[in-house]
Amino acid sequence: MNIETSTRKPMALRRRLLWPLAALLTAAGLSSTALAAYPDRPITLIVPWAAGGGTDATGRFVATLLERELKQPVNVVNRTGGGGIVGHTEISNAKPDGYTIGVVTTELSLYRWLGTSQLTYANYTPLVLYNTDPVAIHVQAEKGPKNLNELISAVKAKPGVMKASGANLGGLAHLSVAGLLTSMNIPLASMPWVPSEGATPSLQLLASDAIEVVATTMPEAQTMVDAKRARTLVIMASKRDPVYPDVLTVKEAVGVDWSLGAWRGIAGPKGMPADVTTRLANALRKVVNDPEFKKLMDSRKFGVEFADPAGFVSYLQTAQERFGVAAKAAGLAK
Amino acid sequence: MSRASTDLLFGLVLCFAGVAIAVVARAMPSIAGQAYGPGFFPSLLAVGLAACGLIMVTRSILQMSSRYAAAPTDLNQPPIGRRNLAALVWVVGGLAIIGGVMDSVGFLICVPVFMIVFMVILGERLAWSVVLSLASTSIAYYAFAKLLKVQVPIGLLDGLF
Amino acid sequence: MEHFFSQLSAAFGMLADVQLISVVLVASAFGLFVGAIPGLTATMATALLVPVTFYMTPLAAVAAIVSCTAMAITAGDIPGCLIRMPGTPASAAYTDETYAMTRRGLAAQALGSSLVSSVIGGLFGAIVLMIAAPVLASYALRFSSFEYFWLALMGLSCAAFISSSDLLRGMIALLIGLFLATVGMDPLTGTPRFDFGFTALLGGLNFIPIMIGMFAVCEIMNNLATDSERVRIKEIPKPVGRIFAGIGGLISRYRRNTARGAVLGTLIGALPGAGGDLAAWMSYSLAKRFSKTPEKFGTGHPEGVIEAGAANNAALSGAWVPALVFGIPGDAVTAIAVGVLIMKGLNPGPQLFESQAPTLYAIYLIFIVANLLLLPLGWLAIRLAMPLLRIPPHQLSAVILMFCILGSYAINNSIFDIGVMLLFGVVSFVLGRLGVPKGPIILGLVLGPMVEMNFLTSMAIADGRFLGFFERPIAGGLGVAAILIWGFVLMRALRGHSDKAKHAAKSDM
Repeated sequence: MNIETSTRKPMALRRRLLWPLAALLTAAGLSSTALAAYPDRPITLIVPWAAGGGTDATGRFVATLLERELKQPVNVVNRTGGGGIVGHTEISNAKPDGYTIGVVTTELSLYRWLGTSQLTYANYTPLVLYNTDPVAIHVQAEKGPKNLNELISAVKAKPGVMKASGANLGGLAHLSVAGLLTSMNIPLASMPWVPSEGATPSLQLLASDAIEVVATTMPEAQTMVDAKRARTLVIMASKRDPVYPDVLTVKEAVGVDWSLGAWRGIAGPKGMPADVTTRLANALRKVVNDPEFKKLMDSRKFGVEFADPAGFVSYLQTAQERFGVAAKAAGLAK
Repeated sequence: MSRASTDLLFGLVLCFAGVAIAVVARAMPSIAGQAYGPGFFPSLLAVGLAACGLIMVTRSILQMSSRYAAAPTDLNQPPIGRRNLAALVWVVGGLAIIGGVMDSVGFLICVPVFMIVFMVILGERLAWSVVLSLASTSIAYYAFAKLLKVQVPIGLLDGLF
Repeated sequence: MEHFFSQLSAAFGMLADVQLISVVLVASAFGLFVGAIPGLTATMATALLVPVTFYMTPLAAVAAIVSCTAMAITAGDIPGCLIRMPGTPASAAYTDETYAMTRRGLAAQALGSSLVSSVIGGLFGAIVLMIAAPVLASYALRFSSFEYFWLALMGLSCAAFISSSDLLRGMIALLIGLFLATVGMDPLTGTPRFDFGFTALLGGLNFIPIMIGMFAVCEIMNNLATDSERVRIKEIPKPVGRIFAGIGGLISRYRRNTARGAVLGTLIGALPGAGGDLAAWMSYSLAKRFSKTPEKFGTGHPEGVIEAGAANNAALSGAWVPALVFGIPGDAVTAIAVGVLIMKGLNPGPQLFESQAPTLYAIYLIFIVANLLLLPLGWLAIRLAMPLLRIPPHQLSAVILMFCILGSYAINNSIFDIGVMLLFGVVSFVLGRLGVPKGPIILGLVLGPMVEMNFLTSMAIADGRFLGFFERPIAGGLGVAAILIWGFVLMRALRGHSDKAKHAAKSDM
């Protein structure tokens, strides 16, 4: 639009505009002097997962609203590969000037434990937590046990017969089940883990009566639950989800305090200037608490959970510990 | 080279590839609690490739022996003209160079150069090649970088747009 | 039933979108352009289209692919008829026939009958897709990893057996594809495999640069290497007359051929590894075998053209049945489409038919819309054919190469993918010179993870007992079928070989 209007301006005016424009370009080149007016150019939001997936979708929700808030374009760039390592590494290696930030996801709590990367939350400037989805336990709608106690006694009675799935070995779903079993002093071999590509194939295995238990987040199991082919037993959260008020937490069901879930947030590289961090954190606070953001997230059934930078850091600390417990329980920690 | 002798060479390459894959696959870790680990499937493929290679080798040796010389498997591939050969080499070499320098030099410089050289090798007029390549890359750049917001490397032209 | 109509009306609502309609029109124009130019294939058109569809809604992306390929396959008939060069391999079966018609002054009739039979074949295939896919899907809901393992294995064998006259070369192509699929982190355990130290390879080879390399860069290299394909056009045919004149009568006279072509085409399209080109060849020879006047074939007779024209378009829709229901693509184009669907979060499989029913209905409707659009747009393409055919080939190649570079890069903003594209262009060029078919490589790439993962998952469920693969009734049946097919093909290959050897020995003496 700017180009159009400027080409229509008379020659003299255009020439007059040229000098300030050149000056502006030089100033942009020496960006340190331009910091006062952050942000004065487009921001890049790195998404470490492929376009079209859940992280990409939520990242784009944030980007759209953040753009409005900061009055600068926020360009979403997907840097995929290596189970998110490529993108996460890129965010942590970016120049800490606030012009490159990114979406960080659950896997960041896992890399160190599984030995796939040395990255942890300590390599970032956490800006906002915007989504958490606790893992839930699902069983076959008709044949499955009625509650968690029933499931546990069945597992104890015939160890190794019931099989569970939900994702790959060492993924969130696997670790959540390993942690749950360990917290109840049940050997892991009592309910062997069947590795699969993800929630959808696992639910297909459940529906076709090949396995008995699937651990996955509520939104991912929604269609199968609606189609009455899967039933939710418990949710691994500290409190019940208002969207599913009838689903018990683990603590309510068996008295063991165990919770684990997927999370997503926005972070920048370590060492960002304080004023830039504050500006971004304030803008992101408005974005995540915007009713429109809630509506967008609801449309894909993602749970909205807000935490400011300090709250996000303490959330990440707890997550890091819990995933450590689970990874050790599963015998996968390196 | 006759069909049979290329087949012989191809078969040998396949055998070698099969062995190499098998060696790498055997070094992959086994996973506790699982009968088959990540190395199982690649090992299977390695055996398959090596077996196919062996069959290929045997078949081509049989074909080379006089009795099978009449087998109508010869594909008559005409020799490639010099211009076209040069263009083929340039497609490979030029794309490799682009892979190396596009990030620093930028899309709008190295791709038109690549196109111009390609067309000139094939006997198109230089002036027209320059016009066509500059016009098409600019349009494509605009579409991808501005409309689709792809971060196409701008390289040396940074600051001009 | 009420449910069905509510889904359908939701689907119509999705179609009534200006953006979607313009996507369909632009993709159709692109498909007509690519199809009408010899040396550029429908698969190439799809591979080049994907980087752009990446930025569309899932439905628009599928719509673009569907309309582009339908147009390309149909437009491929035009240069075959006018200058005896098939625009896409799917038209090759009856190129000589339509050219003979042109020489007899029947160019308009040749183009008109192939266009109209294409539309009928395409519509038939779309209707079959619409009916068969949901039925199969409701059945497939009972499938577990055991059944999927056998299905994927059968798909793979099918690809190796059909795609090449030489079983060995088909097998080699398949194994290469399967191996390439193992590159990157193993999805079940996260173990890195064959990454050669590149972090970029940890997530596996990127599908789109591979496709662009194999079907666009490689085709350009092939054209350079053979050159004969696109020499200057010396003979310029006279302008084509009224295309649709008398076609109705012709089609109704050969209605049996039209029907047979449509049915056979749909079936062949649904077989993994077999696409429109095979469907066209088979239909053409069937038409000749059952014709009352087989002696007229080859002299400019429309019978075979109508049957094969219906078949190759029907195959296009047929290929989507296994692709949507099982994630097993029927040909290279649907292989790309499956990749796009997965990237868009629409993982093919029976669950898709429950969670995304309106989107699927919209997809079926797009098949119908695209095939109906063929009539006016195909007519336009025939009118514009001569200027299109005069585009200088080398300049076109240069522009295509530019889009290859940009497209491979744009998927991930990564220079690495340009390298992947180049590597696969060169490798598939060399393999092509060695007579190794491309189809099985692509199917191996797509189905490899499916076979491996379903095998490992099943093994974990069955506690490592191989008999577990036969314990569920459907899985057992599929398993026995797969083993029988393998045994049969291997037997035939061995016997055929010794027969040939005997023949050779005899003729020598």
